[in-house]
Amino acid sequence: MKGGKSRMSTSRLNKRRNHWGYMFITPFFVVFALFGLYPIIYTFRLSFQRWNGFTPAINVGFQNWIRLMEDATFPLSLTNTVKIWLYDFIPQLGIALLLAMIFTFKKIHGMNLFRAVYYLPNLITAASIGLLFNILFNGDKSTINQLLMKLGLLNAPVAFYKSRAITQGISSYILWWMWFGYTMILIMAGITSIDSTLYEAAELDGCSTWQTFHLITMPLIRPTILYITITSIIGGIQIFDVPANLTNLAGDPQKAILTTSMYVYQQGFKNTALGYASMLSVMQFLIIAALSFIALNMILKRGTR
Amino acid sequence: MKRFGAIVTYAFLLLLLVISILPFYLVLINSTYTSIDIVTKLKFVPGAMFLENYHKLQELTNIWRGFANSMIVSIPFVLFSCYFGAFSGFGFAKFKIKGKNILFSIVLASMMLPSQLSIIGFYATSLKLGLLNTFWPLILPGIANASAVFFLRGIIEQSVPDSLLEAARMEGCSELTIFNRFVLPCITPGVATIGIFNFVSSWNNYLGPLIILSDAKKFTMPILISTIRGIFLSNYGAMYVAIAISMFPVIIVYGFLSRYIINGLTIGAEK
Amino acid sequence: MRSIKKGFLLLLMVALSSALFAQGTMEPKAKGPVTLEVWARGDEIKQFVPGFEAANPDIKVNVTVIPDADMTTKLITVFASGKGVPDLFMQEASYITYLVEAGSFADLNKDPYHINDYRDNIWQATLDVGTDSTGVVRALTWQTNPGAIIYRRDIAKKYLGTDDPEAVSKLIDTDEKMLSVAARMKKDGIRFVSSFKDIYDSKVAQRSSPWVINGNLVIDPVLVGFMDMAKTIIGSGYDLGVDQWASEWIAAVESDDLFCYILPPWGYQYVVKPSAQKTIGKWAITTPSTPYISGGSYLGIYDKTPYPQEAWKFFSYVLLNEDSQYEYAKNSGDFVVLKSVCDKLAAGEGEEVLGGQNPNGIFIKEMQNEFRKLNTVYDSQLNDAFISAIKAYAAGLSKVEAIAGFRKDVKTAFPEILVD
Repeated sequence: MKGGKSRMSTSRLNKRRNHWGYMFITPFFVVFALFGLYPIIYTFRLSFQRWNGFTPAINVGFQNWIRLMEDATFPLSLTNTVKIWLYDFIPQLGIALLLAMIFTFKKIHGMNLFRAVYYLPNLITAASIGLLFNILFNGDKSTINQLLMKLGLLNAPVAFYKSRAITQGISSYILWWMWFGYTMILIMAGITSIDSTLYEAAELDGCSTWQTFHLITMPLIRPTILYITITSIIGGIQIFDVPANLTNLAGDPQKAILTTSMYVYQQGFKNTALGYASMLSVMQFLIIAALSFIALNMILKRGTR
Repeated sequence: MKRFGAIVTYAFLLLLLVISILPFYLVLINSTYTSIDIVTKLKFVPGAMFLENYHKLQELTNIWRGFANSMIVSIPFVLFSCYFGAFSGFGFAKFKIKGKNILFSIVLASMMLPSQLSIIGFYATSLKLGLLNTFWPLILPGIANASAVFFLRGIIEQSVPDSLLEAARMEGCSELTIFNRFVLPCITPGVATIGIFNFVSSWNNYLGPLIILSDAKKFTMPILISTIRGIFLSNYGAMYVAIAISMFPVIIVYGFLSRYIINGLTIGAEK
Repeated sequence: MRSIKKGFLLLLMVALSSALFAQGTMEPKAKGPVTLEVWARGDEIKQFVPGFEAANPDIKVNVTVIPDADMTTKLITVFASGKGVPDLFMQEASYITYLVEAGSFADLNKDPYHINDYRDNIWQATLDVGTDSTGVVRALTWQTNPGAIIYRRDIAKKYLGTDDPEAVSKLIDTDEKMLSVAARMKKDGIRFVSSFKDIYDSKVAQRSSPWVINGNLVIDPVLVGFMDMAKTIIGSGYDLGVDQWASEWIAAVESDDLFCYILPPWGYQYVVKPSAQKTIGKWAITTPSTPYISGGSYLGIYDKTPYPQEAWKFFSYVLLNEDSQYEYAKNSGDFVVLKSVCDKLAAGEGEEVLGGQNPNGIFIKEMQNEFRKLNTVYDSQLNDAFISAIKAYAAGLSKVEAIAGFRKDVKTAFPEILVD
């Protein structure tokens, strides 16, 4: 019986098997069409209209796009977003790689505990942590001010949230704190799929730890790094919860932490310019796609050795 | 020399440990003080106001019902996204499909559209399907969870050898059986990993439940915590109790699933 | 491996059945009693429900509290589809003009709503806020919010020589007087006012023109002048340095280094009174130099509600019924919208926190003033943007730059306004 089946023409077998391929991806696309595609089309359509949510919508063609040309706040929010993201992402990836290296190449007592704890920050609601850090730093009698003064590091309280740089820095820090453990786990998941014989060969060749890491591990975890970078870009351009809860929805001080998503929300639900906000969403999407494309090229082009 | 390196390494690891835990610790400490104390005093040891804050919390809102609601939404969501994520990932990874790259790019692109404004369209869809004010619009999209598909496709490509599939086909197994009996067990660490990520994102999801649910009895925890914050009274004490309560299931689910991740991780790491 | 799968399947079953259960236990729309859906910003209105349902056994009221920042979002989503709009809903005073003009609230002069019958007993200023530009009343609040100075008696005695409300009011009734008192207090580390924004709200009422006239942005000179006062306050540390509703702002009630909050009654009810513990009896209230009203939750009826009669019954119970409002005010301490109720309360006991003073007397006095109707649909955002400009000016920008930044912000938010 077994032999008989394998003697059936392979192309027919393949065809039948590939039909199954379609079957496997169908549930995704059906549900996606309903809950994913329709809202996206709705948003695209809305970006060509003017609508305040209460009275009927009117078509305004490309007026929203023209409005964007004169909008000084959107580019500012984009700069803020990218700045906050970069100051988060680079240390995030750096520390995660460092930790992955330490845990892969050295025997560490309590490794499981360390890894488990480093992931914990990812579990907390972003809004809650934003609020916590607001209370920690806000005002002359804030916890951090009291702590630093007690330790003698400060003579007078510092108004942290009046400084743009500090507020941006705190946002980046929170994001780093929330994501470095997650990134570490992903990198380690990628590392475990590397064939251990490669490491054995490297050891035989007398490679140092750094060389092994640099020449074997890093290139082979490129897909993981790619996944991490792209998902981070996608999430990064959309950050909302942390900056929105850190000071207020306007991105105080002086819009320093006004991110693109906060600005979209402001235009859509505070100024009720839903058409314009939809257009800004579309803009966000294009930016994310462009950045992802660049990242894809940069990471994959690094050569296949 | 080596000793020094070890000390530096451990010091570094311990520092990160403290940094990771400190905010959680602060949340727990804050839940044991009154609102005014939280804001004006520097405290690192627990206070005595936990029960009072807890009672205030119960007065303001039924937090345990919110807890149950969050569970009712998140657990099915995770199960759907893991199973169907692997399902679709399997399709993309191991089968020849016409236009596979384009289709997969659509999957990827769907992650890129910011969620803020598509919520109105999302609301409109849910309305048309008659699913408003139910939990279904928050659960069903798990079937089309792009990040699960993206992630698990990669895992399947790496961890499921074609030879295994061939052998199973020789045995006369249907593709569905192959998937359930052979593929899934191979990728358990990957599934567990994406499972935790999705549980966390569903648990902390705010905008979706806010828009879909209009019955206060169905509100999930993030919305309730926001209501506690209140317009006038900032009931920080009660709020921190709520946040503390909200942290626990996620930590427990993580504890439960992390065994599988760590198992998967250590297979390769130990040489 | 099999046990994991079994575990998963079990969890799946449990979760799915609970989800189905959750859907199934949703109460069917009762055929007999009518259920009114009310969306509220906070839970004060819930206090009216038991009394109302007792008096109207065939109407049930379901109040859903929506987090304040999300009320507009939720309203927009239901209006977009036309389904699921609540019968009554609320919004904060600074934003209510928008909803009132958008026409989603019912005309309360028409049948079966007859708010005109009650006009004489309602504070005119609150009626004005809920009236649209064509003169139709569409929303009202049960809270009336005239600004007042809530100050510390002990600090007043030390630096002003008296804690009598009338005397204190006279001693700080101009900007110059306030700043000089603030400077004296600051020498001892005491801050004069909780936030410069407290004073901003009174300046907004001092303007002669609204923000927008015939589509043109108008920046009243009063506000431009205030920028300098605010800069001094911020720069010299005469206020707490945080925004209103920040945690430290509330906690300052119990501290000994803040002199006053300049706020409407909600400032007393929801900030000072609940937080005061060791400062009970140390506070008092007096009138500010410029009368103003600010804030409050405005309630309106959806103009397409299927239950206009019932909605009106609830609306009038909360807002226009003397007995229910008196009960509410006694319990919550809010300053309410019906004049007769306010008079009754003013004759009652004083407040412990205020050292025996009855705040209603002061508030009634405030309400005797003329309040100009200066609100526009843009107020909420324009005021926020102007505050940002003030902060920028205080942080070092020149006045010209700060105002230019303000104009740019207005243009970005509302391209239809001419800003030059």
